[in-house]
Amino acid sequence: MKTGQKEPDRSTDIDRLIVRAIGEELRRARTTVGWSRPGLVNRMNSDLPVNTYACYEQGVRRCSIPRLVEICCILGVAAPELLGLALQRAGLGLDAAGGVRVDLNKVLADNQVRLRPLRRWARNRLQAEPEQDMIRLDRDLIKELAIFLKLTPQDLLGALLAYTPDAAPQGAG
Amino acid sequence: MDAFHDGITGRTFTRALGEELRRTRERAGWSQSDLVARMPSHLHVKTLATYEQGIRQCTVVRLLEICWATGACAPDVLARAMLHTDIDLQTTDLYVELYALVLDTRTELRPLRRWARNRLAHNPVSTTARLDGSALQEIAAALGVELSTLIRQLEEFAPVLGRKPDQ
Repeated sequence: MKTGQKEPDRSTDIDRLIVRAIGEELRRARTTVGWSRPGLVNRMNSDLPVNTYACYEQGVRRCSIPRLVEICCILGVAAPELLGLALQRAGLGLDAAGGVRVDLNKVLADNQVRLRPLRRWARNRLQAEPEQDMIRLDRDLIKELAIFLKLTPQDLLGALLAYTPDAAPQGAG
Repeated sequence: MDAFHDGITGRTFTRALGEELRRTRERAGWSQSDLVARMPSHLHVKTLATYEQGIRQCTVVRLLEICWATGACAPDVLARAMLHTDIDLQTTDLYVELYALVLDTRTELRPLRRWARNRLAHNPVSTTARLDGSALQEIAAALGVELSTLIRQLEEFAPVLGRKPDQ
């Protein structure tokens, strides 16, 4: 077994930040499904030791991409979404994360008067696709949408970041 | 053939990911040594080569390093690799001739005209806008119209070569 050889510890702060962000996101996705760590590991085809998995969640061990995809598959979440959400929550850049992920239910729960058009958008969005309550908006899309919502792109982005989903959405991948 | 489940830890996926990494690098116009020179971790060129050939599995941290160096979006690179391993996504790009839309006079198209004017004000050179499926969805929701209605409205302004009329 050689899944990503061990490296001498030269990991920078950003490395640690990433590893921790991925771990945090895995934990969120797992607890959303309601499984224990052994419960998750037992469902996997490959024999991943519970300890190794625990190290991923605790952000002390680097996970390979195929491994991440495999875990996400078992959890029923899309790996790219989980990765993007980890980057978003860690504040590692809008473009690197591929945009902002938004929980439409959180938008609707907000009651700031100036964001009423945004709520209308969220309501329409949910009506059009009721099962898709978490969506992703990239930089260009935020610019377009801001025009329609009569907000500046910066304002809209700021508002949207407050609606970051609690965990990667179920049902994809 | 269950390429997806078979391929995740196995070769298919790792190779698809390697292929995507190579494309990402080539899009930036760099050789393998150009890229490693720009990565803070001083990855060995040979290691990068084995990632691209799908021989060695790369970690999340490595993927992100490569993406940051090349300006690519990591979730998209990963999604494309998964896509090539199995799944397919919908692509419904629509092209809109912005000047044609600006010159229209129908009341119901006023918000769209405002958008088109805005686009042109920001970038007068690009007179054709491309809207993908997700952009269309957001705009429809913002305007409170059905997606199909919006598409029908915008299709009128498609450039001659953009979208083939299929009826």
